Amino acid sequence: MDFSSTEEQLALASVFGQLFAKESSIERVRTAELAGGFDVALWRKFLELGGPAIAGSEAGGGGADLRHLGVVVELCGRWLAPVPIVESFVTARLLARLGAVAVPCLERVVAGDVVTIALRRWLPRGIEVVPAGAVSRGVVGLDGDELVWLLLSDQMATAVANHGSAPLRLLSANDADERLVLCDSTEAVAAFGEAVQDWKILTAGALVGLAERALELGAEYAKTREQFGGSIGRFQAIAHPLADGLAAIDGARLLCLEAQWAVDTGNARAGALASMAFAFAAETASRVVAHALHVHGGYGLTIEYDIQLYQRRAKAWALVAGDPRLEYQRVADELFGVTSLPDVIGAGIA
Amino acid sequence: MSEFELGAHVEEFRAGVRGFLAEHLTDEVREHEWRTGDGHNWVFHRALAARGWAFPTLPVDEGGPGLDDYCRFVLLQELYLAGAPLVGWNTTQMPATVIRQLGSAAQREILREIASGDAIICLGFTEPDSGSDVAAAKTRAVRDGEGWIVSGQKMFTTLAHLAQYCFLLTRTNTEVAKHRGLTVFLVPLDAPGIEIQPVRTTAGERTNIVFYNDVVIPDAARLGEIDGGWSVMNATLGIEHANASFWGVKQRLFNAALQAARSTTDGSGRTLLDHPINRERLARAAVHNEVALLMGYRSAWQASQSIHSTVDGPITKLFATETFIADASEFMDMLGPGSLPAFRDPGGDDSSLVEFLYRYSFGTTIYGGSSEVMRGIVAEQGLGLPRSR
Repeated sequence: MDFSSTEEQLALASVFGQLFAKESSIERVRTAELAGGFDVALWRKFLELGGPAIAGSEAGGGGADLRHLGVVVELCGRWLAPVPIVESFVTARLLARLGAVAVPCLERVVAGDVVTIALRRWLPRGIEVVPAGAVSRGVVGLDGDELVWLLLSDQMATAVANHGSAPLRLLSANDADERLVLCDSTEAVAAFGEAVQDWKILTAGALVGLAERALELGAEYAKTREQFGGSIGRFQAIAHPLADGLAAIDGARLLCLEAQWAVDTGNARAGALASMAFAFAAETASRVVAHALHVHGGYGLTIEYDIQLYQRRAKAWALVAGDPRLEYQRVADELFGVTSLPDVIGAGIA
Repeated sequence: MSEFELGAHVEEFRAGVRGFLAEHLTDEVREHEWRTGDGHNWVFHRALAARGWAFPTLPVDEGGPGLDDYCRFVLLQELYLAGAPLVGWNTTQMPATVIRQLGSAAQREILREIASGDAIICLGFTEPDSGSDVAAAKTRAVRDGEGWIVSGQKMFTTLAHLAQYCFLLTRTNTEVAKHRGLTVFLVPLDAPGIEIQPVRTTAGERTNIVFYNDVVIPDAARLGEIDGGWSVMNATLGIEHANASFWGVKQRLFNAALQAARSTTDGSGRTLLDHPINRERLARAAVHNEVALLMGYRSAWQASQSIHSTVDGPITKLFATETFIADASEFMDMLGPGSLPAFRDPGGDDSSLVEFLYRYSFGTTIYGGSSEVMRGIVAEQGLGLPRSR
């Protein structure tokens, strides 16, 4: 048992903490909201530090493991970094695992193109919401029984206006300039499942970072806002739900760390832990931002105050994959075996 | 580097504890506990002591087994998981640890009695008028020549009727701020003038009111400085909060609920576990228990590294116990009328065990510091919020 951080993890935290402090200020986040949810300058800085290739740049794997990527994505969440780091890490890892067939795709990653993953399987003629789809050159997704690489036009697409001000794109598998089949049938489903599992764990980590910062904003406001002759932080109705939030965030972070470890070490519980971390982090982030906003009273409703930036993303980051509550059904499937009932199960996250 | 497996020596130790429980947690011990609610059984406790587990962290060169913090954690959780009488064992660990750190040579002799399973210690903190505000204790200890005369009343002194000693918080100075006028004594419970009245709880536990009627005790019974009781209390409560994972008993609840859900069918022939709503209930509890386990492991890791956190212990207790009540309540609802028949041991089925643990869960959010007190500590120490009381 060991809960300490390695030198390498501390170094990553320091480097990326400095990057986001400088290049992902709240002003930059707000500016990016008006520019399709993407900050090109930040993406270039991210590339200078290694970019998505940190997670995988060569056929056969060999990128950083989830314990290291987890450090980066938590900071990404904390600073609301308007660049698709989670999706590009997940996609690079997936491509690296696929070996020779994905070499041309990995070349795109190394060249600095944004790449992403469609989290929900395309049905025939189906259209799905693809995170970062509006700013990506390459999209990996499950098209029926085929795992496909879609090379998109280099014209940036217009993002649909959306709840989290993210560069979402409504995309069908037929929208590509080029379509490359990476693998099919059970191999495709397994490779895709592994990538979605990575995405859940890393998104959970980003949500932990987001929720912790939102909680801090709520606590800071409670300390400075005065009503009835003193700071509102002295009221238990304000303070105690913030304390519950801190406990839940602590728990969500521990689940993320354990899930990262399980994937990195090939532990058999990885699937269950990934679903646990995702379900709990999504729920925790949603609850924490709700109270943190409420602490702000009427100001929390205004665009001017920053808490709304966290409130909207807490929902948006999790929901691109489906109903997060259905993730508990996946936890159940992993722990208790698949139910004999056909309904509900399978309707959620791919 | 994060590592989430216990070493092989801890897993071997766990296997040893399970073997021990299979042998010594007999139907007789269970029946005794169910009937008395004592939280303690001398036969079982002496068997624990015979294995060296009555005071497991006592170092080897002091005559103990010198078990590490992970083994101590695993021992407590396995006792919880199996439903063993463990309250006497548990209340003894904290004062014993403090006696080892702060006690006089004569007081440290008591550790032998504890390690041999001949003595246990109960905790005399709470009073009729001071629970959460523990430093407001009014029980007086007044100097009388070489000794002290203790008078007052304590509430919820669980095991006072079986323990040899009470770790007693008293007021020795009324002229100073309340935290500065406290002194802790290790009072022998056979001293004249001590009167014990039983109190029963909704979970069938026996606890006590203890009256101290001009009880004469020697100064040698004092632990720590005169009027220095608050620092002794802080050491004790710190240990208590750091031991607050409750994973074992939460998992006992989960196991019972899962078994009941698997074996109970509804009118259409489906099991309760086939219903998505129940799958979600069980999955949520599994998540809560995983978190409580991780928090417990972290406490053990911190203890092993001599890392002290004022926030992590209260967070652990708050999260573990609040989710315990929430999950037990969900499982009662899941089982419907099937959860209503009262538990008995041995012979109680899984549904009635859920009923018992639902009643039991409430105490965990109260004793050792209520959830409201924990939230106050977390808000102040973890978030820098002002005092809210």
